[in-house]
Amino acid sequence: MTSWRFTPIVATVLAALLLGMGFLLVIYDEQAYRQQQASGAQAEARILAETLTAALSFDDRTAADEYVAALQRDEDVRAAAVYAADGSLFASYARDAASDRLPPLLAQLADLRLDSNRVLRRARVTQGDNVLGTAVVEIQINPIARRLAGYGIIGLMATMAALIVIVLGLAHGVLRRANAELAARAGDLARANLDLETQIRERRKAEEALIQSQKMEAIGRLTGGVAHDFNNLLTVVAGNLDLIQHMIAAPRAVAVDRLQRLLEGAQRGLARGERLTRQLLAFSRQQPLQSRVVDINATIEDFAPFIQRAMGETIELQLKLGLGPWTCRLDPAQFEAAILNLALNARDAMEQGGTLALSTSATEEDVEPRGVLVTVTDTGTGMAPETLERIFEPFFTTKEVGKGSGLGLAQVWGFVTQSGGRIAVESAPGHGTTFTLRLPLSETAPAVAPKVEALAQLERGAEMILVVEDDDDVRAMTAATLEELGYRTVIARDGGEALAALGKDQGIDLLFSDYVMPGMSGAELARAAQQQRPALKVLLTSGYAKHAELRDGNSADGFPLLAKPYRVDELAAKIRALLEHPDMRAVSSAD
Amino acid sequence: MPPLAIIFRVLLVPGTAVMLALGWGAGVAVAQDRSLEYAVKATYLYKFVPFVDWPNDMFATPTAPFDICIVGDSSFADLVANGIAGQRVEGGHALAVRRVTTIEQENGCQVLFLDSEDGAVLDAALLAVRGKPVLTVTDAAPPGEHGIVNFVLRGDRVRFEIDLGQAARNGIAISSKLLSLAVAVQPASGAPPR
Repeated sequence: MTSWRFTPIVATVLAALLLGMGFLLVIYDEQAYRQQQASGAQAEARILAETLTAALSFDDRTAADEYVAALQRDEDVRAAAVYAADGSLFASYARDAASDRLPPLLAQLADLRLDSNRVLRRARVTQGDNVLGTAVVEIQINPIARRLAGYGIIGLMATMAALIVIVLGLAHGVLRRANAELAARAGDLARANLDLETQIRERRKAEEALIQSQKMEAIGRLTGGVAHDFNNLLTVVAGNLDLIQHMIAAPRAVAVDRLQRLLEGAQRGLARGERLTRQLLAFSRQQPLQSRVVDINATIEDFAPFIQRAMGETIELQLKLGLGPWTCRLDPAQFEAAILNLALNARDAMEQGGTLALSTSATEEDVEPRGVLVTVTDTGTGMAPETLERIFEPFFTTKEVGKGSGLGLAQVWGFVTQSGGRIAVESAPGHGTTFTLRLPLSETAPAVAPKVEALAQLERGAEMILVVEDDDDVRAMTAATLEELGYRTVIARDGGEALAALGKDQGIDLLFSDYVMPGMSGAELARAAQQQRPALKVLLTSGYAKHAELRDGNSADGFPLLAKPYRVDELAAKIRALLEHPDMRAVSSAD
Repeated sequence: MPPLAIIFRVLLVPGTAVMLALGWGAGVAVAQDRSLEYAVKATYLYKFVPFVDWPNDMFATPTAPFDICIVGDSSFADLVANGIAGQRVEGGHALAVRRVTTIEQENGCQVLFLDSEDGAVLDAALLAVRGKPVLTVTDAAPPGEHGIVNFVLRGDRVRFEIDLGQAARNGIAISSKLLSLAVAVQPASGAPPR
C-alpha cells in the first residue's frame, strides 16, 4: 500500500516527461528539418553553379535564365539568382512577390534581412581555378504546415500516453480510496463481531440465570409437597424411635426381632429423607448449559421418585416406558426441569387427585429423522382452545398472582426447541391434557456414570481421630459412630479447640472436620494442623451444594471431602483409605 | 577503347578582361558591325577549349603549345592572339595562335578555325583533319560543310551549332554544358564507328 502512495505523483511526473519528450522530439525534428532545408539549398546552389559554367562562360543569359527558372520545379525554392564574376546580377528567378527577388548586386546579399522561414545558400561557379560567378538559392522553411501535419502524430501520441498515465493514476487513487473504505468496513465488522460475541456471552449468562431461576421457582412450587413428605418420614422415624425408647424404658421381655423391625422402619424413613435432599440439591445445583448424550428412559426412571414426591399422595404416577433404549443429545438438567414443570402443571390441574402418566415411545417408522416421544398426560381439568393457543408464551399464566411466573412452559418450549425437537399439546376442558415432546435420537451411546458399589462390610480401625463439629448433636453422633467402628476419638467444637487438642495429644492420626464452621473454616484448620503435624491425615465434610458438586472428592483447597449426608459405610471406607495410604492426601470420594 | 580524357582548362581571366574591354560583358547586345561580331567569335574560339575532352596522348612533348590555327583573315588571328595572351591550358601547355594557309594532316593544330565560305576549301580542310583530335570550327558555313562547331547568327547574337558525329569521328567529346548552349546539335547516331 505504502509503496503505491506516490503513484499519482509518479503518474503526473511520467505524463510531464512524456509530453516533454514529445516537445523535445518536435524541436529536434524542427532543427533537423531546418538543417535539411539548408543543406538542400546548398546542394541546389552547387548544382545550379555547375550547370551555369557554360552560360556564364559564353555570356548566355537566355540559357542562364532557363537554368535558374528550372528551379521552380522545387516548390521550396523561393528565389534563385546567378551573379557574374564582377558581382552583377546575371539571371534571377523569384517564385511570387517582387520582395522575394534577390538584389542586383552580389554584395547586397549580405544586407538582406532573412527571417527564420528563409534560408539562403550560395555556390561559386568555377572553371578550374577561375571563378565565373556565383549561384544563389533561397529556400523557404514552411514550419506551420509541417508542424500541423508532421508533429500532429507525435503530439497526439504524447498526449494520449499522458492521458493514459493520468487515467491510470486516477484509477489507482480511486482503488486506494476503495481499499481504505474496505479496510474501514472490515474494522467495523470486526468491532460488530466483538459486540456480538459479548452479547452472546451475556445472553448465555442470562439464559443460565433464567434456567436457574426456573428451577428455583419449581423448587418453590415443590416446597409444600416436600415439607409434607419430610413430615411423613420424620413421623415414621420419630414414631419408631419412640416405640424403641418405650420398649427400653419398660424392660420386659424385649423381642429383639421387634426392635430390629422398628429400627429398620426408622432407617427406611431416614433413607427416603436422604434421597429427597440429595435430589433437591442435585436439581437446584447451578450448572452450565451442557448437552450430552443421555438415555431417556434411564433419566426418567432416576427422576421419577422425585416427581412422585412432588405430586403428593392424591396423584398416582404411572411410568409407561417403551422398549428403548433411546439416546438423545440434550442437557439432562433442562430435560428434568421440563418434565418437572409439566408434572407440576399437571398437579395443579388435578387438585382433586388423578393420574399422571409419563410414557416414552418410538416415533413412527416412516418419519425421518427418527426420534423418541415423551408424553406427559394428566386426568385434570384440561384447557380451553383459547388458552391452548397461548400456553407457550412467556409470562402467560392462568394462575393467581404469586402462584406462578408463567415461565414454566416457556422453559419447556425453549428446551425442546434447543434440543432440535418439537412439542405438541392436546387438551379439552374436562378431558385432561397431554403434552408430547418429540426429541431427535442421537447415534452416540450415552455417557455412563460409574457407580460404586456400597461396601456391605463396614471397615474398622483403631487409630485416633479428632472430630471437629460445631453442631453438638452431629458431633456426638459422629464420635459415637467412629467409636462403634473401633476408633478412639477426641472432640473439638471449633478450630481453636482442635489445634489445642492437637498440641496436647500427639497420638491423633486423622483430623475429621466440618467444612463450614464459625470462626476458622475446615480448610483453614486443616492447613494450620498440617503445619504443626505434616503427617496428619485430613478429611473434611460439608452439606453445602457447591461442595457436593465436587466430583473428585477434593475440596477447592485440595483436601479430601466427604459430602453430607453420608452413610456410615462411606465414612468408614473413606477413613480407612486415608489411613492406609500414607502418601495420598486426596482420595476418591466413595460417592 | 576511349582515350583517357583530359580536361583542358584555359586560364580565362585575361580573356574576360578583353571581353569587358570590348563592351559586351555586361549584357549589351551584339553590335551590328562585323568587328564586334568577330571579337565575340574570337573569344568563343578559345572558350570552347575547356568544354572539350581531348585525348591524353595528344601532345608530343610536355612543353608543346596548344595550337589554335586560323585559316583566313590575319586581323581575326590578331584578335584571338590578344585574347589568349599568356594563357595556359591544364597540363601547363601555353595557348598559341597560328595562321595557316595550307591544311595538312600533321600540322599539330588542336583547334582549327576555317574562315571561308568556299565549299571546296572547307571540304578539303575538314577532310584533312578527319580522325584527328582537332576541334573544327566553321563560320556560317553552307549545309554539308560545317565543322564540329559552326557559328551562326540568331537575332543579334552569335550562337553556334555542334555536330557530335564529326566530334566522335575526330575522337573528341563535347561537354553537355556546351551542348546546352548550342542552337542545334547534330547527333552522333549516324556516325560510323571508329
